[in-house]
Amino acid sequence: MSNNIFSRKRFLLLFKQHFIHNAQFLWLSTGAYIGVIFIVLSIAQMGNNLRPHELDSFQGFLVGFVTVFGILYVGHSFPAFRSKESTIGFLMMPASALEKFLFELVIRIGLVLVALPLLYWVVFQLQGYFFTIFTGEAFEPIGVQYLVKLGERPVEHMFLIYSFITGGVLLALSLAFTGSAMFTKQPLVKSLFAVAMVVMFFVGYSYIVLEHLGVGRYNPPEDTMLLAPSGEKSALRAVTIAFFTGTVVMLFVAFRKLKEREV
Amino acid sequence: MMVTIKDLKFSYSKKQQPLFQDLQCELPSGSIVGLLGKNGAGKTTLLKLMIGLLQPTEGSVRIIGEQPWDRHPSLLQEVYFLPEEFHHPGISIGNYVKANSGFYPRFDEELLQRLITDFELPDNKRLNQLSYGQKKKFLISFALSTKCRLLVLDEPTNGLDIPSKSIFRKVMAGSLDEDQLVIISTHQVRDVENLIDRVLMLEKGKFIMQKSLFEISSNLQFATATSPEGENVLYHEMVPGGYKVIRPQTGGSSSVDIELLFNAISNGTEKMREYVK
Repeated sequence: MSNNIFSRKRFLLLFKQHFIHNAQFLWLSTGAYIGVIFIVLSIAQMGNNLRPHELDSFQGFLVGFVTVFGILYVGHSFPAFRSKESTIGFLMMPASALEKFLFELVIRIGLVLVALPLLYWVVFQLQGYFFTIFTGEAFEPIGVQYLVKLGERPVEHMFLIYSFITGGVLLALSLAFTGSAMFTKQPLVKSLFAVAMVVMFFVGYSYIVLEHLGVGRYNPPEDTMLLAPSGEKSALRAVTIAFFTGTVVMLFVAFRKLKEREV
Repeated sequence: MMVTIKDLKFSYSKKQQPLFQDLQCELPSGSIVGLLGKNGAGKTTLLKLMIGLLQPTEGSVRIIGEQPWDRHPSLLQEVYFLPEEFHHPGISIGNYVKANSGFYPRFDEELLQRLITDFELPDNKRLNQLSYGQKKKFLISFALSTKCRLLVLDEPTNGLDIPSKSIFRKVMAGSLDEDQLVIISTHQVRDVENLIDRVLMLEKGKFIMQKSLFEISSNLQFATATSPEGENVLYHEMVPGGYKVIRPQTGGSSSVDIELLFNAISNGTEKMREYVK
């Protein structure tokens, strides 16, 4: 690839710059994340007669923490776009649009998918062991594989379910990511509002089509509906494909917004 | 040519009148250019078009043979823009240099240390603890230390105290190489006097003057007189004790009074404008 498209040296310089510029913020955010997890897990355990958390709670809290903190963090992607002055600095930085985009993608979505779950796992173990000081109940550590493993028993259509969840998570994060590339002020609020509007439009549209126009009562022979999913598996597959397609489209929009940004 | 602008047209939206129409300009390296104009003349917009922060509506801008709007890193590492209002992280000067100098292949750390000393900047403070003027002086020092071939400074002397303005002129003159071009946009004409060697004057979206100081002093004589009258006087301004006048050059050359020239072209007669076209 041409040096004007991607250079490893420049890409690494972006990381170096980010960590030096934002060292204090990153430490404070990590501290806040750890603190909130520890406190919430502790309160939940106290409310459960000090009984240690088990796998179900581990995975429930995992989804909750990573979703809330993840959306908050990804919703503040492209922080330079929040003001005209910092946008100028960002655009004039000697790195290509692709390098800047990939850097932001890694530092935001990559970090949410890797660092937040791992940090949660570490704090979960520490909190569990910490509470054994005050109770007679033994804490059973939960393996790191359960950050991604759904449960003990094999599930039908396992690959499809993993793909469905991954696609859904990626789409949610990429919506927040693209929103922050598009909107200058309060990007997360505006992104959530835009998503809510789109969802409401489609729900309303589907309701009218299915209920009032009678499509819901239309019952054709199965072999004539080649494109419409008829079973559980094909519906899951269709939605998963839609999630991944939506993610790719959103990321492309974010890239174009970065590339064509004017100040 | 370091900067070539051809038939440049630009408007902020399709509905608006174009801010620039058929703008032409060529700037060689090895000079310090003053981009002068009244408030709202379009100086900052032109600078943004030159460095690729805005896309021309029509025509072309080329910097060192590249289109700035492509924002190729090979060009960005040769262009440094210091805007009038800037953003900086709340870190120390040392950390700022550590984080950003790597992007500029010709970065000169020794020069930076010298400039920091010249500007009497405290190097142990965080950037957000410095005054506006001190921040600006640091960013001017950083800009010069990048050794970028094109330095674009938008109102660099705004916020500087009087001694700092004089140091600014001294360090600018003493820190540049032959392959560099500096474009200084300002409406404070006095601040760049004795520093610039070429003048671009912008008015209503057009260059009303593009001349080197040598050409100007070959054509025009800047003098003081007791009376504004005289058939050769192209422009005059009353000052304590007499008048400042501009006459056609009759032989030799005189030092150029840029403020007087600026006023003469902005407020003067067509005859005056013809002399500098």
